[in-house]
Amino acid sequence: MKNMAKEIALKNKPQQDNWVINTLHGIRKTRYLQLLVLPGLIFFLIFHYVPMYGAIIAFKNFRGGMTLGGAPWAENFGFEHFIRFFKYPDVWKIIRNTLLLNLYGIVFSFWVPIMIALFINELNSVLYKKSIQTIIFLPHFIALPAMVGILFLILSPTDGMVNQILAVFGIKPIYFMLKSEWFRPVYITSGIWQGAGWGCIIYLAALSRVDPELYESAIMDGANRIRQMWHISLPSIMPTIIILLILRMGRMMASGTGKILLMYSPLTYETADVIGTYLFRRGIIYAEYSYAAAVGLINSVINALFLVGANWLSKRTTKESLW
Amino acid sequence: MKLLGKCLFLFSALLILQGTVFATGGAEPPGGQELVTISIMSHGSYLVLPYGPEKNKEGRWKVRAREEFGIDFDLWDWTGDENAMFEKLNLLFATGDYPEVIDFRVRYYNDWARQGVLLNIEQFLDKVPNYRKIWTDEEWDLLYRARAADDGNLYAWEGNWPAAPARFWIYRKTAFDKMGLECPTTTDQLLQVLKVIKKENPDSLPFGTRGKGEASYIYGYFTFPFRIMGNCYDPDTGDFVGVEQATDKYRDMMKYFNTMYAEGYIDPAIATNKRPQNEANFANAKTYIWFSWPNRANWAEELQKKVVPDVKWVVSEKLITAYPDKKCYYQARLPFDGFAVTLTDKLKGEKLDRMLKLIDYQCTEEGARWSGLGAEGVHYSIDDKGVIQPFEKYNIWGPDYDNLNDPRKQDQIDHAAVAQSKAFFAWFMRENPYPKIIMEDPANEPQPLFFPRLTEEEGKKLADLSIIWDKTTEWYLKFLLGMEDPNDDAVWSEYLGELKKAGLDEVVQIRKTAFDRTYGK
Repeated sequence: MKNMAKEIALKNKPQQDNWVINTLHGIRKTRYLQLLVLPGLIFFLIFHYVPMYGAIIAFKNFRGGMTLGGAPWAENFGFEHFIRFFKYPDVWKIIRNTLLLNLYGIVFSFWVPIMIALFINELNSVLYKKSIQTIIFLPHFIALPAMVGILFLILSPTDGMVNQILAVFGIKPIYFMLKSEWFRPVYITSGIWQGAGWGCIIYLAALSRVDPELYESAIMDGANRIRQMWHISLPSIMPTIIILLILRMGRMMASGTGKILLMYSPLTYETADVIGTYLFRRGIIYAEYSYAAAVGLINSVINALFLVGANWLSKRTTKESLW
Repeated sequence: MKLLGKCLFLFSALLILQGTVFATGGAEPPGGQELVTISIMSHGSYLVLPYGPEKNKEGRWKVRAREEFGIDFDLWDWTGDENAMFEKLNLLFATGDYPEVIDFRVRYYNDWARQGVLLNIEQFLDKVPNYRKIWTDEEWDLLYRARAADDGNLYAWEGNWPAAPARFWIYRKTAFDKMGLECPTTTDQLLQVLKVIKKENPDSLPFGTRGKGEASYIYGYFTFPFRIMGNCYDPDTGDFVGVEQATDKYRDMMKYFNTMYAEGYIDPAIATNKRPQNEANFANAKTYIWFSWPNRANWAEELQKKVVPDVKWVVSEKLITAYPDKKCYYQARLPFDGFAVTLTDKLKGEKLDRMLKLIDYQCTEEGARWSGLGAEGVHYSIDDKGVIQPFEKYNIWGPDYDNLNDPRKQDQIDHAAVAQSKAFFAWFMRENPYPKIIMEDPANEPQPLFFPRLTEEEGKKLADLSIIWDKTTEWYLKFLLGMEDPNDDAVWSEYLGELKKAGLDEVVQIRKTAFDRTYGK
């Protein structure tokens, strides 16, 4: 009797008490899936997590030829370089520029690939659709230096196309690449031109999964194209939009440093100098490795906070989130 | 059997071929020693530079180093872009994966020496006895004053070959003669000349520029005419000039640039043009006067012949000055050049020994002559008066050098190594008369040279204040491009105010302290 009771009790024992066994059981059950994921995990471990140890140089006074362990610790309990960054006279200018460039990027360019995807989705002719897609993808494949070189040529004050058109209307030539007030518009516009076509791929993929019966039902209910777009297409890709927006928010303190380095000059530092370019100057040109690492670490931490915050907000408001 | 025989024959033939035709490494190293491979990064080093139009052709020194010194130089990178190479080396030092030898601009070595990655030369002078012999006592002393790092040591195997005034005013003589113009000798005359040229040729951009970042090069053209001194006591005013961009002379120069740009004498896109755009101005015969090396006169001529067949560019024997009542500065003659080899702490053992032997050989008259002139009987002869006579094919200072199709580029010989042969220098000065003309002209004087030494702490403080150079460059462009008017006192005050906010006073004080300490003031 006692044994039977014991047996029944064991059988009915709540599952969570056996979590170790459950876990092991789960791993064993999904071992082939685990094996599939393992190379990727190892890759991330070796190339993304292990190198994080190198961030320690932000807390040291590291110089060329030293080892990570051999470099002496920085003053102020290792926070010397972090303090120094916030004492830099233009620190708030570069933070402002970084945030504004990204904010303008979101406001002016985030929605463009979505619109393009929605309009391409409306095209009936497959040939026409594919042709348009190919044409708008192409700028993405132009190398950055080449693209910036094209910008300089097009915007040249002497024989640039834009200034020649302006001259027809009697407007004096504008030296776009050297005026700080023009830097952001040129940066954002060229980014849209180059990236919008490529960016719409993921939305097109999401739209291709929408059940055609929904559109048929909408037609029967009298919905026109715009209404179909608004009530069917857009909501269908909303989860994708939100995920991408969250990821985009996680790069609020990042910026296309390479492109800015190619585009900017001392005359445009007022609006063009961002954390990335400052970091490049200090770290690569002045060889202040520890200081640059500290600035980069601050940047990454703020990015991470933005990402977490955006994810939380999205979860609260739209129930969509990365995790 | 027949088949077996054929296979054996083929196999043997392949073995022989592999050992002869496909063998790399050239001749046997001396004494049957194994070749050592030394990694090098270079900005155009004589040690590895492939001469001539065939880029895969090995340089003379590379071949000789292998055949006679047992060194196979492994070129990691060679780039003409100084900034790119500097940045790359900084990255390599951070990773710990840097080359054993670097051949680059000496002024960067101080920073790297501070990081402890370079080998100072003092510890090897006993193994390179000929190095000290190529310097007189005065030159050796000057070398230390100008080039020693913070710890007082030298880190570059600097070459002893006198850097004389190198750039001069060159102009399109045929056009000047047609317009009844003389080459100007004052900045006011230059403006007048440019005005006439522009009037006669409205599409022209009479003042030439060429390379990337020419906006800064124009600055370099006029610092001597305006007698702009920096980081020393100005001989004209007696005041200490810590930041030359905050002086009245600098303001005068900015007003001048402002006028040149406003009147259309300079390309409007100068601040963003790259070399191809600037060179196109030459090729389209838009330019008439320039400040550059004398053989650029040939270069400009060759480019413009397609548009103006009878064009002739010449070198002026006069400098241009902004202050006719004073002498005009020219580049002071120094016994060293500015580019040199340095050895990193990666170079050890046998490799180090062989490299030192190579350097030592280059300091002998024989080695120096071979570097600068080549082999006697092959590249030059000596006449009965003992005067060097290069064969015409190798006379790179001839009248039409830098011709784009010049066959002499096949075997270019103009890179002295560590030491310059006295015979070479005598010949060089004979072939290139302009430095002597400029130096002997009583209207000119050499720019005073000073080498104040900073402490490590001062260097660090100046690095923290580096934002001031961003400001000076920003405003330099604003003045040049007419975005701000340097004639306006309010604007000039605003500019100085921004410099002060960026730490002008502190920079001046640090530099003054360093100067006074170095020169015992």
